[in-house]
Amino acid sequence: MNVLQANFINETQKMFLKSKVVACFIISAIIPVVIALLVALLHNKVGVLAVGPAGYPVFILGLFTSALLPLFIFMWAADIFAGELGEGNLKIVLVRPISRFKIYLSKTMALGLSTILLLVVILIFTLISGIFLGGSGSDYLAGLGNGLKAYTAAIIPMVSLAIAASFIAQFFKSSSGALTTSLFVYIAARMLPVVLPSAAKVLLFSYTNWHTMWLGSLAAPEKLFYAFLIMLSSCIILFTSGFYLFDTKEL
Amino acid sequence: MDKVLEVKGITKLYKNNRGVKDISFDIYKGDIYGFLGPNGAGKTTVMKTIVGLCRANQGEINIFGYNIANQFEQAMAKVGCIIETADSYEYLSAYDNLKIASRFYDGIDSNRIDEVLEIVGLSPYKKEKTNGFSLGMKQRLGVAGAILSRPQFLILDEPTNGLDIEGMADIRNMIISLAREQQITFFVSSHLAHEMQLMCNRVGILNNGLLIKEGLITDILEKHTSLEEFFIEQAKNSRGD
Repeated sequence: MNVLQANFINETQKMFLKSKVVACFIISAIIPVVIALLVALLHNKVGVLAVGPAGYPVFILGLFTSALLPLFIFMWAADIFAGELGEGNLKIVLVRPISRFKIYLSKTMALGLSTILLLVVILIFTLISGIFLGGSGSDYLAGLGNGLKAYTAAIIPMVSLAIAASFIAQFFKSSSGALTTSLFVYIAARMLPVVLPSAAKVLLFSYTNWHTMWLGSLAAPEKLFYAFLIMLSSCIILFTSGFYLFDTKEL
Repeated sequence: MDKVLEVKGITKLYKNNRGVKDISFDIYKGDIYGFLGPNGAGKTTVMKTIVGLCRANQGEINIFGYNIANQFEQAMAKVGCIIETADSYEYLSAYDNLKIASRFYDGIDSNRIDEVLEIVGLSPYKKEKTNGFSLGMKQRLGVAGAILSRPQFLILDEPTNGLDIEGMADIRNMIISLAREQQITFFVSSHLAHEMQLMCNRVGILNNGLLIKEGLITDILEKHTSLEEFFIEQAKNSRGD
């Protein structure tokens, strides 16, 4: 087996054998169901339907991409880099016949795959819980169509977030330090455009809701392309810098 | 004789200016080469540099003729090692820890994993998570991970550290039998002269970051009653006492 593929399988297996990661998936499956039940309850009591089945998948995705998904991604990245370094486990793979570039790449790939799988789980449970919201067959179909489009679009900013989190984790020897700093940087980057609106255009973290640009009347192609380029260039810079820090690490 | 490890003029200094200076030595096929020195002499630093955990400030290291700086994967393909402590993923079972290691090598199947677990005496515990393992069991699992790929060269840093008398004897006997039966070349470090004398055929004395003497155990014991006596004599000479 190719060593890159071998370590990608290893890192993915290790992630899914951690109770913390499993808990993130369970929470992500429960939340859409609970919110759908609450919305349905509100509808029955007050007669107001806050969100229908057509908009529910995108509504839930908005909640996840702005808060929960970044939190989970930062937590996982902190664990597989800083956490392993702190626990002394990073040494286990570093002395195997695999280059540091392939180790860094495979860890980031495992992080990206877990992020995509989590989006899939959220979409599935959002569609299932849409049943509680009533509505017609065409509403469900609209929800499915919008959902597929939005969740697919959300992969890019969320994987970018994983690459950014991997970079931040290189500065720490404990997962708690890496997680706290990642969250702080994320919150600060989201707040910055409040005082400096032009910053929103160039900050990677401003594009977590990129999926909304793909819905309704589609945003101008140049806007989509600009946002994509900002994310791509940020990813290249952060991946390269992260790898440099990882490669020069001494144990 | 075939050269397994070639260390040429390695210097590795940390920020506090401690480390090792101008270390050069070779290890040949079939050797059980011992690195003997007190704690802090630089044994682990040399071993870490050899397996790429540290970067040398200067010098060159070749394993089986491959330079570790630019041919790392080829250099480490036939190497097994335990550096400092035998680490494992504590949320995985002993078997899963070895399964993860096995993916880096061709031809290592579940039978081989069972075989190495049997060699180190951990078969009854193979499904247990390693967070409940004693230090001795972790050390055995480390040895199992190191020999899993049928390596031709094993680097073991203080392999008997923290073990009781029986555990130390077990590891020592395991090294001797693996060298004899599977023709594995060993590079072992220790601060225990008696251990080195019982196990090794060649020894290098490391003190204060310098390799002060090398020699065959048989030659040393012709002129000295023990390796310990030889070590003390060399350490005094290096200090100019």
